[in-house]
Amino acid sequence: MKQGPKGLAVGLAFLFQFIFIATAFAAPVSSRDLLESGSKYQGQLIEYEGEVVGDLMQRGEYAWVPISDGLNTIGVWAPSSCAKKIKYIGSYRYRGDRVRVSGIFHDICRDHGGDLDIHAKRLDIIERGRRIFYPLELSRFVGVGILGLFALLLYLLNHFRMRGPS
Amino acid sequence: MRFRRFKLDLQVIIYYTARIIMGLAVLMVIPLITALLFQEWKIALDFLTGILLSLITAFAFNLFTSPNAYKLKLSWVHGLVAVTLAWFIGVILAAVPYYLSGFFGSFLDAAFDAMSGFTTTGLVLIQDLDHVPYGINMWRHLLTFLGGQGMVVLALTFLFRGTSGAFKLYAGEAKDEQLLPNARNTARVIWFISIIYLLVGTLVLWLTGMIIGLSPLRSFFHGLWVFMAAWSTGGFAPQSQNIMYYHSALYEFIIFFFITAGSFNFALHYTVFQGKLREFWRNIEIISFFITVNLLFIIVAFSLKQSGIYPHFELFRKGFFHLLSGHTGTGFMTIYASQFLRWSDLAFLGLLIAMLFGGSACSTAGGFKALRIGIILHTVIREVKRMINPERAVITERFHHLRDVLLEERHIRAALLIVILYIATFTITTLANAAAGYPLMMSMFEAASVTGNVGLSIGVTAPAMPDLLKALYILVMWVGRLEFMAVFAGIAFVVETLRRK
Amino acid sequence: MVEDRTAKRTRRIFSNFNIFVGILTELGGVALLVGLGLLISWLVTRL
Repeated sequence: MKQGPKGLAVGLAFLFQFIFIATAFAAPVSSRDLLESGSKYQGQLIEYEGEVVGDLMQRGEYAWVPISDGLNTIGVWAPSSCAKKIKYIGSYRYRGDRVRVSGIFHDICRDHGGDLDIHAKRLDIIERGRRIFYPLELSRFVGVGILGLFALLLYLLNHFRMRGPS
Repeated sequence: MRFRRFKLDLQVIIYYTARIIMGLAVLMVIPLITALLFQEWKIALDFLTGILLSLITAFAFNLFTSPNAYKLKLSWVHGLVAVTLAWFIGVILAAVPYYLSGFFGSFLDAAFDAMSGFTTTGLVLIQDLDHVPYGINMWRHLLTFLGGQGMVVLALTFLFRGTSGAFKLYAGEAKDEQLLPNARNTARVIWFISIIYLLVGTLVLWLTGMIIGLSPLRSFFHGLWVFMAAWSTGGFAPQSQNIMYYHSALYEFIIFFFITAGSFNFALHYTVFQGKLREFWRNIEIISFFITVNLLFIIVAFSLKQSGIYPHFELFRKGFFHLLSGHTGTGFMTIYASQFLRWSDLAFLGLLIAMLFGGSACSTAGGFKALRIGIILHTVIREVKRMINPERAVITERFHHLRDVLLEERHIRAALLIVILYIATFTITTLANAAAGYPLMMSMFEAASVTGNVGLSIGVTAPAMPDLLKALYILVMWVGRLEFMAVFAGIAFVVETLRRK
Repeated sequence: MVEDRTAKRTRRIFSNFNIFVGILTELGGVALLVGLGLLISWLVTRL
């Protein structure tokens, strides 16, 4: 009686896991899954999707492409020819290209000193990046102006106070 | 009469606090210029706001002091309280541009990162770090670089003219080595050493950055920032992947040098830079540090090897890197936080102990400090000697720190007191973590990291953690960095004030 | 003026040569530490 619901839960969990693994290769895997249950994906072909951020680091015929899916950033080891497709790299002023990578996942990569990485076989651009504009609000200027005046006032007040009595 | 005395006390404290805050305002000009160079107009406005608020605070404080406040004598308590107050207000003001930039969930998060920077801890609550502008990144790393040397050390260098009590301020920041008779010159020597290393370190990392494929401009900023975080044993990095971002054994190898050199005592740097090279190999702190690093690494290496997660060279790349990063109190990481959970328990414990041990006294590192561990070890030796020798025999024990020192009761008392306070803080933080619902191992790991101002994280520190826990971490980082006494003096002063009313 | 005098004083305490040798000594010390670390990991993986 007591075991009933618990058993059902375990059964369901198993079922879900199978569904999950079966679909994992079709849909992109989230970085959270890759980090938390890395050993499950070790050496498997996976799809991973996200925005290119930071820097592309050329190393011979390959390049490191850091790709962030919004939760975490994972380094992708991609052939230079693939990396050349990337135009926009995410930073403060740019939204980077959104790419989909299919490649072999390494939980502890033997080729790269134990880093967690993905060795890309394919890299496709899904969406081009763009420049980000940050509008400057007038109220901020006004605020800074008021603060500046206030600071000046206090400075003068101090100045005359120091002069005054002595 | 008593009240008048108290008013004078307050005046001295406020006078010095205002000076230190003025230094902070001057410092904010650097990220402001960076933001302007990279045309980050909105961020520049944020820093301008921060500068103006700091100036207003400093000027407002000045209104409460008499024009002759600088003539008043600064006592030890005043120094401690002024430092505590300056840190408290400094953190709030430093968090203003952070918060305005929009990369933080709340002002508490921004204050957390500011405190983490100042205390050279390196835990972060910043969100979307990979899109953070140059201005904010410059401020983060500058805070941590400055925090390593000490906020007071900076203020002493530029803002104080021949104050006799300056040493009392300086010592409030847990730096008790007086290199030169004058505290102001001592502060300058500390800066001189740090700047020399800054030039060397940035150059080396800049070149290495270009070798590993960064563009020259990006490589320069990566190098500068990583060096600042390494030297101050801070642990911030410009990208969310921390040091793993670079995927380079060479880069990690160079970082080893600067985090370790950063964890050395400034008095040791000073002595060695004067050409007294033998001191380096005889110093109690170096010997203690070498012994603990190697012993703990043997434990960690064996355990990691047994669990089989890092079969070959990875053992060095991951095991030694994190051990040294933890032991020096840096907190650089080359694995993701959640991957620590796969370390075996023994390796985990080895790392935890390393984090609590920390670097040298009077350095940028946190933790028990190698000097105290060395003293405690010598005490044990002395007591054992006393036991096996006849009762009437006079047993003395010496240790070498800059010169031969006879081990006295006062050394032992001071060392034990601080170590016990660290352990108590660690226990309380572990309890709080466990109360918030985290598993024991995670609770202990994060607690050790916060207490020792390390910055390695196993995933507890996240924007989603309870606010109360964030506030506790801020407090623990603060007391850990100031080595308790300054904060205790501050609290005692407030209590005393309330009692008098 | 004051700045200049102190700058000179700092330089007099540390001669350029001594700074160079000092940094080398410290880095040499760290190299030894890292070397020991490498040795330990090599031994452990061999065992």
